[in-house]
Amino acid sequence: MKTLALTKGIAAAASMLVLASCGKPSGFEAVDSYPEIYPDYVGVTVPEGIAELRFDMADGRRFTESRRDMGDSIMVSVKAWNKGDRKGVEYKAFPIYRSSQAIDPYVAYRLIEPGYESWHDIGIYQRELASFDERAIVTNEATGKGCLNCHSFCNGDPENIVFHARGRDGGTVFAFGDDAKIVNLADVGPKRQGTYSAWHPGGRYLVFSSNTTHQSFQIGGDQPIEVYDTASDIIMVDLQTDSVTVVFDTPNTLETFASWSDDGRTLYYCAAPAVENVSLGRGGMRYSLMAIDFEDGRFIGEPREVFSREDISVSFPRIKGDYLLFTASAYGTFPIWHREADLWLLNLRTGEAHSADVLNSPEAESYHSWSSNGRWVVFGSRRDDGRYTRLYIASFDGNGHFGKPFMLPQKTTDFDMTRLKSYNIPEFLRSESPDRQDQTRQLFR
Amino acid sequence: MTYALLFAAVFCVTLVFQSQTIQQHEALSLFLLTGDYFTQTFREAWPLSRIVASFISGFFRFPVVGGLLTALLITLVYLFANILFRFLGSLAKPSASVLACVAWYMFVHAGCDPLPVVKILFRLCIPVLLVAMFLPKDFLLFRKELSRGTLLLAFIAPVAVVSLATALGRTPRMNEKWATIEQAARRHDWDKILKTADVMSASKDREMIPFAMLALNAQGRMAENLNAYPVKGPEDLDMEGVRTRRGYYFSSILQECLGCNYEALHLISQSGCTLPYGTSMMVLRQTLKYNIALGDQRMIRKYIEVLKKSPANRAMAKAAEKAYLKKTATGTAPAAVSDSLAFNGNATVPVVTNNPIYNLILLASHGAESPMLVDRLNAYSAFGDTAN
Repeated sequence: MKTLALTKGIAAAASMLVLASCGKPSGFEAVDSYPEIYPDYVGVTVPEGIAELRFDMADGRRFTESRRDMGDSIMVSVKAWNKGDRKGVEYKAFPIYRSSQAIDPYVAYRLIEPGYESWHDIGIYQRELASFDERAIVTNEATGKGCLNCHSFCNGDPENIVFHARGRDGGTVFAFGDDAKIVNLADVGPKRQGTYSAWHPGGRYLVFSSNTTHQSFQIGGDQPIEVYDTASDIIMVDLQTDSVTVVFDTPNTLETFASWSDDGRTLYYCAAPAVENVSLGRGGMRYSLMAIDFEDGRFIGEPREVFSREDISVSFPRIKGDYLLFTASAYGTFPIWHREADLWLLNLRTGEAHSADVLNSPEAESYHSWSSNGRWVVFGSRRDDGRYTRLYIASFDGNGHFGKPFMLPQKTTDFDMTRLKSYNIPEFLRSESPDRQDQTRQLFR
Repeated sequence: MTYALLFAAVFCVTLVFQSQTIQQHEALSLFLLTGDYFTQTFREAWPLSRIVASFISGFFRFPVVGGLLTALLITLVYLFANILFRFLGSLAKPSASVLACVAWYMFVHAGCDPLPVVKILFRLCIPVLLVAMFLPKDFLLFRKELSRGTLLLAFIAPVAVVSLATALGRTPRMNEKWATIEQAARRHDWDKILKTADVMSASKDREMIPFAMLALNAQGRMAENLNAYPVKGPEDLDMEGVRTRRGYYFSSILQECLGCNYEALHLISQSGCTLPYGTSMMVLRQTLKYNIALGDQRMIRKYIEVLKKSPANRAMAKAAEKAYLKKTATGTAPAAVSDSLAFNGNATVPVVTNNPIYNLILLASHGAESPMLVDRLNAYSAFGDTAN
């Protein structure tokens, strides 16, 4: 009986060996270059415990890979060949560096058709970074298919979330643990609607820009869409008193994209002089980075210019410690449709700003978010196809240097290629977010 | 014999009277063998129903296959119902089975919503059981006294009559007509549009007028034929502001014909947003087409990869791959002419507005000189200047 089992085992192993070697070349020529793989994980720095980085050959060739653990890095050897080749290529092993810096366990983002004007399914989702598990936090199934946008968490705490749910009976949803309420900001206080939000680190205040946004489709050129504001101001909601106040009410200046410093004592935002007929004069719309001090629930002093350049329009400032990461584009306020849009890093102590070259690509980079310890940054990039935004994560050494970014790992290498949704507004989360679907559905009943 | 006759009858009726409708089913459905598709589907209600229905609809792209599938499914419903009633012993009654498949046929072909096929199949159990419960016992036993020929006639005749009535009813006929027009517009088969959206049909359904006008326009005959159709004003020449699937669809074809491929992409995407999945096989194919026109290799690559995940579109996608992609697996990025903060070129490119006449003037001033554009401008000008 034992002999029979052993024979069967040997036969099975032999047939597996035959199957495994089927179609593989008999020899490999070693070359002194790294393989071109997709996604590009060559030389990236990853946090401990990140989901497996799976890849294919960029040119679609067959390949085998083996991984060697070197302690602070993993060396990946790749052998590739075309079907029918008698000799394949053995590439130089490439490193994937391990970082000892922790990363928040989840990232939240919105999934939306890379759209143009309307939508069908929109949802705010969370992805566990240690696995491929993606779960909905809330989708527009709960809101009668209205638009969901501009989610924000207080200090990355998933228990406190704010997002807009547009459409009939829509408004801004504030959820704190098991409590949730919906407020139509356009109906209260100064009657301004809320758009881009920023939660004060103390948790009591929320500032929103209040934008009148339009979009236009170009007749030619290499940019399909331009999105612009014809008006924008900034409002603040005091969650303790449920009051709304206007921070900036300046018809001649457009203020947008507010963001708090870590200590909550400074509000950074972008501002540009208003232009008549923005659709035609959009090339002249350049936003500067501004700041205003905040103390005891009040803004004090005059706004001051922090960064401005004639050839750069600043958007989406996000601060961690002494560093402020922003998106720089040639003009305008919606960089995702600007291929030239890149991430820039500003040292708030020295005032020096430079392009974060290692993060950038020939396509748009935008909508970035720092991890809670400031050692990682997640951002959206259109480098893969120019139209669909994908998420990339990069390490940061705390001294102004980023590591090579890596694409958020996916279960299969063609998952993002065949996904018909774009990722946007990624935000790190300190823990798993509760499911907000039923809670939101109740608000819309 | 009964099954073979039923199969043949349904196949013929479908192919003769419903061939465009079943293609439209496919055009508006979505089935992809991707993780994202299944994940999204299982987040919706009736996921299995959607998957099975969309999978079947995928093959409706080819009318003969669609006809065969429809006939096969209806025959299977008949068989299933027969088995069910036989299983119920004394309640065995093929007449109820006939009613079951007739009801199924009517539901399936009553409209163009591609999703409820299997949902209907589930719901069908209820009327079938009701019929079984309430038909008089004498009627149930009636078949035993009939000859085989009479039986065949008794069961096939109602199917044939109801099928024909279903296929020739006003709604199915109109659906078939619209499916013909929309598909002809996609193929730029202007003669077919004019033949289908004739003056009488357009008088009954005024939404056909813009399609007919587009066909005339593409042939350079719109301005001179304004009086041939019951055109009341410039709003009949286009579907600007019509925020329905058909309205967006029409506008995307119009913009495509005028050479505004970004706007065509925008509008076909808008059209997709009105559909159950937010897109459909037709929307994906049109998107691929516009990206080919724009020469965006990476988007072409993406949509080819997506379409390859559809069993019924795989061959087409592979042919497109062979024709349009000769680069690496990730495609070739367009020259990064605008990847410079100093580049301001896009800021001066005109943008499309919601004033169709202004758009035409913009296009003309941007160098477009197509006879279609001139003909359309002439037609608008026949109603006076409304470009302000």
